[in-house]
Amino acid sequence: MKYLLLIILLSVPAACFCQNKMLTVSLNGIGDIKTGMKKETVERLLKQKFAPGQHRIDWSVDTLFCQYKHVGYMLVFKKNYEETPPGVYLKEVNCSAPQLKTRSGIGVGTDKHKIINTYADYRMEIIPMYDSEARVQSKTKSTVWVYDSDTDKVIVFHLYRNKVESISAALYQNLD
Amino acid sequence: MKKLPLIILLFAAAACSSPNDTPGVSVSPKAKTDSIAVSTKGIGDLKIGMKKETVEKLLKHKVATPNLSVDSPAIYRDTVTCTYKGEDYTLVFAKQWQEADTDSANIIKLSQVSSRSLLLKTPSGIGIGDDLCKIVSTYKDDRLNISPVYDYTKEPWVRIKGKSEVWLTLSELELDKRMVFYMTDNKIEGMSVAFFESE
Repeated sequence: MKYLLLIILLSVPAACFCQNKMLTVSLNGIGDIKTGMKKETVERLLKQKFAPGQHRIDWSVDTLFCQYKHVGYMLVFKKNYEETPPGVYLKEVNCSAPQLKTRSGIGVGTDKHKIINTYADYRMEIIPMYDSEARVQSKTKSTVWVYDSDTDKVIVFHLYRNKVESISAALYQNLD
Repeated sequence: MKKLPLIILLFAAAACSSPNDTPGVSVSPKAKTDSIAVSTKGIGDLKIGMKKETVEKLLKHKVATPNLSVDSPAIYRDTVTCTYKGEDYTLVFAKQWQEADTDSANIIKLSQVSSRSLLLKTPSGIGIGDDLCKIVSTYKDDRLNISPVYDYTKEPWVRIKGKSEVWLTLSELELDKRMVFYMTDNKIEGMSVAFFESE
């Protein structure tokens, strides 16, 4: 009985700790990683350099995978040709960690209908996915895009069998 | 009591016969009279892409489109309302500007047809009064665009509370057409079928 009490006492702070590690998804980004950040700022945050040759950042768009605070992310960088010389900024951040949550409580595993009802006041798109090789529409994968009306920011929910599998925060202008 | 079977027989015969019945074609009389089919082709008999003259023949009257008689590339559409078979429709006619250097520039075609008739039904069974969840479930394999509706007469634009539109693109082969569901408080109150390029 004494051990049971001890286990309960130990598990309460552990649960609190896990809750603190919740990753907030917003139109601005995921956790500390915000879309629109310059490549150098992301590098400082992640404490790693992205070599142009290695990740082909000399191309207009480049995708790479990284770890930050023990969570895996996919980052998409894009060149801004309006700057001289062109700067590279973060166009999209994607994550599938279970601790992801939007402010409205949408996270990995949430049902499509809950997303639709939660963001009823926003412009949304539900887009079926295609197998790029065979050009066949997927029967299991789709995306729900929730747009900000005032900016070019969007949250993309990637669904598998109508449940959220991963979430992206992105800038949708000039999406390639 | 002897007359009862005769009355039943007469009722049965009346229920089975209809002046428009085609021999050999099995159609439920209820479905035939109680619904107007909405597809990417149009609403009922009114199909997008129809020439104005064909629509006029169908409606059995001339349709005035004064905007389209103005010789200006800036004005290429005109909206009219009409009643056809007892139901109200809004029709948008457009000039064909794609071939402006030929005689076809003068061709006026139906580019959008809308209605709020309670008889509207898509082939998947979506009708007036159905909610957003039913649309999303029914068209789970298709592209849907859900947008709030704004009052564009005000500056800045003001969102009209409770109003939204759901645009449906049915397949990759029909990207030039869209079906629109007009929603109030998440329930369908009208439908429209239109060409994309006429925007």
